[in-house]
Amino acid sequence: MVKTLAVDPEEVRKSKVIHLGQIPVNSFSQTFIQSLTQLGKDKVIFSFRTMLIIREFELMLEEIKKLGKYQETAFKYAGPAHLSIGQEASAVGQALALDTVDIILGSHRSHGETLAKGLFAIDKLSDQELTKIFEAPETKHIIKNFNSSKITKKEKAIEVFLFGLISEIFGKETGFNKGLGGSMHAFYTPFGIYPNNAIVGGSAPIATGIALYNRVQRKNNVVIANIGDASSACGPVWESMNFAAMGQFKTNKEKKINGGLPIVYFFVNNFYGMGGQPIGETMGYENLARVGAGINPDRLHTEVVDGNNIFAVHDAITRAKKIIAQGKGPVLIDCQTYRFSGHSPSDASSYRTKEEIDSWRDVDPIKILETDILNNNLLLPQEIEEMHLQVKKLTFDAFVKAIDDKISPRLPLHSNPEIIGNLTFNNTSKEIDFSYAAETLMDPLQTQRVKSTNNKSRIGKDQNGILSGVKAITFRDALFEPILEHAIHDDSLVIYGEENRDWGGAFGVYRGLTEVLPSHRLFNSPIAEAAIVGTAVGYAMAGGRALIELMYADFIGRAGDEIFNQLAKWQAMSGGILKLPVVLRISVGSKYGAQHSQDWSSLLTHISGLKVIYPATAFDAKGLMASALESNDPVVFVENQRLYDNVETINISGVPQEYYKIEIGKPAIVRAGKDLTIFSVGACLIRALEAAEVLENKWNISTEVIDARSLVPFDPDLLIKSVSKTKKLICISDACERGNWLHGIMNLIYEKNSNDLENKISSVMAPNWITPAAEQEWNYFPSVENILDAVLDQGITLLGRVRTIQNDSLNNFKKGI
Amino acid sequence: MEEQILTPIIGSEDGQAVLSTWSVKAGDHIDIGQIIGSIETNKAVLDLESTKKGVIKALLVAAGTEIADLQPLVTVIVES
Ligand SMILES: Cc1ncc(C[n+]2csc(CCOP(=O)(O)OP(=O)(O)O)c2C)c(N)n1
Ligand SMILES: [Mg+2]
Repeated sequence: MVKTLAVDPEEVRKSKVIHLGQIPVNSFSQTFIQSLTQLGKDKVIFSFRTMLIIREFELMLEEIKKLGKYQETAFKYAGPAHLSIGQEASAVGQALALDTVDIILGSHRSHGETLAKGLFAIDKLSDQELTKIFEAPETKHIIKNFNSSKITKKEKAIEVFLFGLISEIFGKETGFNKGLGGSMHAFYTPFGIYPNNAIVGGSAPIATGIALYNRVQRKNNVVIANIGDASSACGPVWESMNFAAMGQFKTNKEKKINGGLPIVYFFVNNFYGMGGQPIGETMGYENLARVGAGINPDRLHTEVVDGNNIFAVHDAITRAKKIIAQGKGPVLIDCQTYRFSGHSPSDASSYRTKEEIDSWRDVDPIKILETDILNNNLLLPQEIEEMHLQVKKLTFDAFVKAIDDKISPRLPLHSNPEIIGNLTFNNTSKEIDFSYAAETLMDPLQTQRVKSTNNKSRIGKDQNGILSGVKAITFRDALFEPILEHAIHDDSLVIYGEENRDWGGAFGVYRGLTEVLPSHRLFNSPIAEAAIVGTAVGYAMAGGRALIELMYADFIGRAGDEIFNQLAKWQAMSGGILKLPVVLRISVGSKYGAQHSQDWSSLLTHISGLKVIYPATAFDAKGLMASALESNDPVVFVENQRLYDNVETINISGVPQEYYKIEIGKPAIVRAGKDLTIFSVGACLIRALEAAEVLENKWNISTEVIDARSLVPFDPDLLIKSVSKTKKLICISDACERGNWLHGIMNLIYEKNSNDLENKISSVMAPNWITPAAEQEWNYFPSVENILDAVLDQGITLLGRVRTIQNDSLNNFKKGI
Repeated sequence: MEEQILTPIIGSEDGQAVLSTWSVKAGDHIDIGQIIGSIETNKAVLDLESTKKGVIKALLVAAGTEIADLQPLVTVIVES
């Protein structure tokens, strides 16, 4: 942080020892009677019954997977079932300590936590509240074939909840998320249950983002990331724990939002991955809890807890909540338990002995609690027997309804496969509210940045020629203006990424924003791309709006899962229930060699669920950024570093000072012509226009240049019309040839303009090998010379010019380059 | 002996920069490393540091002027 954290060589070079401190293991020592007195009989019995329901629910799934029936009723289910039989106390102990507004996220093995949180919520909510929740627009599809008057009864509500979860698992339209999530992705936000995740450790960054939302928006509820022990090896999990513990949360200058993030990393430690064992085999530690000590001086307040004892788990979460309330989070809990069931029903458990499994069956959490209940006369043996039968009936009733296609149909994908497609984007937006003043540190008009921008010409040319970037608005300034506007009118918008504060982002787009925004709304993230994107997903899921940045497109790989599986997928996987308003700025580099110059815009378009924008002029950058920031869909905003210093010379009226928007998905004719169409992606536009100028001046050829501006979505009408007029098309992009987005466009034009085209379409793209050093870049990226060659390929004579380079695409295919 | 202080190579895309303020004037004594003005680029505001020790004979550009990399900015009568 700017000039406040001094690095003192004397201190740094001193000899000393770092003390890691102690991590308590199974410190809980309360007797059953003490716990009973503390919690009361009703809660203890409710917890016990919840454990029975979870157990029966999963035995039902196991029977279906293994025998194709449940209680003699046949049903085939082809999807996954990662069961947590044996781990019920971890789930129930946790839920027992949480409020309905507290939020949990889980893993592929989270039916237990989902059921426990849901049942406790039902127990706490009034009948009226429950009716309201079940009939809310996002959830009423579950009960659409139910007689809703009966749902007010709690017992009925539990059945509906089981029905919603079973339907979700079986891929039915009446599932929590319309059957589009399934077993590993079920969630139900009204009860504080946010998405479970099939990517090991995938919930850690998202949960951290929800915790960030709670902190920034000053909410008091905590977030629990339920993740497996084997996920303690995953980079994004470490990145998340560090993100939540960042020093700046404690040293925040403005002291308004203080303390580490309100989150518990709850490792459900069953001592196995699928079959591999973290302790002693795949990890270096002898205790998972040890990792807490690596993150911060508080060791994340890590504790090892007996996960087979609901009271120990309840106690640990209760204390964690207190720590968090004091602003001392995050907390790590290593909750040790064991699954009797295999990793999945097909698991032969060849990796462990029968003796080991039996020894854990002896400490079956349900048995332990049942014995305590009986020994202390809370229930009679026959009452327990009755409870077992009643739970079986409850599960069966929900199951029978969930498999009944009349009550619980499937989405009619055979007749309308686009139902899912139409859930990919919500195509809604939240318009800026200019009358609202968000919290700021100073009037933006008084900042040096805005003062100098306001003095600049809005047009990049005058009678003497092109103005420099200090005299006229640049592409960089054009991006800044709508960002500032949204930031000062919307408190829910957070802006972060590497070197975003003070430095203003590596390319200075945010210069001046530091003076304006409090540090909880504009901050430097760790160099942790997975956490940057993953937390933004969580922040948006919770109701906020995030503008994040990856410094170079080449770093996309570091956030691969978070961009491709999380940001891109959750809107559709939630059946359209979740909205993810995230703008991910990604800059395409140049001059810095092979790992800093790749244009991966095409790669991004391959992933369903992302809108991809790639402006090339300052005018477009401003209008498209405004649209991106108000969009409720995830948008990747690609910026080419070659453009940041460009002033506006292409749109002759310049960059308007006032706020305006450009519709996402619409290309633009940048230069009108009649002989030939050049279709350009991103920064290639500058070279396309240069080529058009040369063609006009030297050979009197009139070229129409169209800039894609958006890649997803993309409206091809303008291009189709242009080609029917010019009958010739050249496509140009800085992305590599193989899998280039333009191939799809070219196919479409072959189809739509089949009678118009006089030649095969020419394309100019980067080759399928690495970018050379800065001085050689124009021997790699499409150049004006390459475009002129392509014009020759269109059968156009350019007097005095012959092709410079021959391209042997057939051979390159064979060579794989 | 007279020597000149030049604009540093700023490394911005095309060297676009403005000498935004002077914090010294002709006749002032300056030292190596002393901040004598500020340069504003599109990306940042940078300190202009003296690379000479001596007395300023003349400031060669007025505040607000666009400057190029390695352009002479100050003439200094240097002390040996
Ligand atoms: C990123 C990723 N890698 C691998 C897998 C395949 N996989 C699914 S579950 C699992 C083991 C996870 O173990 P743990 O995190 O301890 O959770 P548990 O299954 O024990 O609940 C693996 C390797 C995956 N889903 N995601
Ligand atoms: Mg495990």
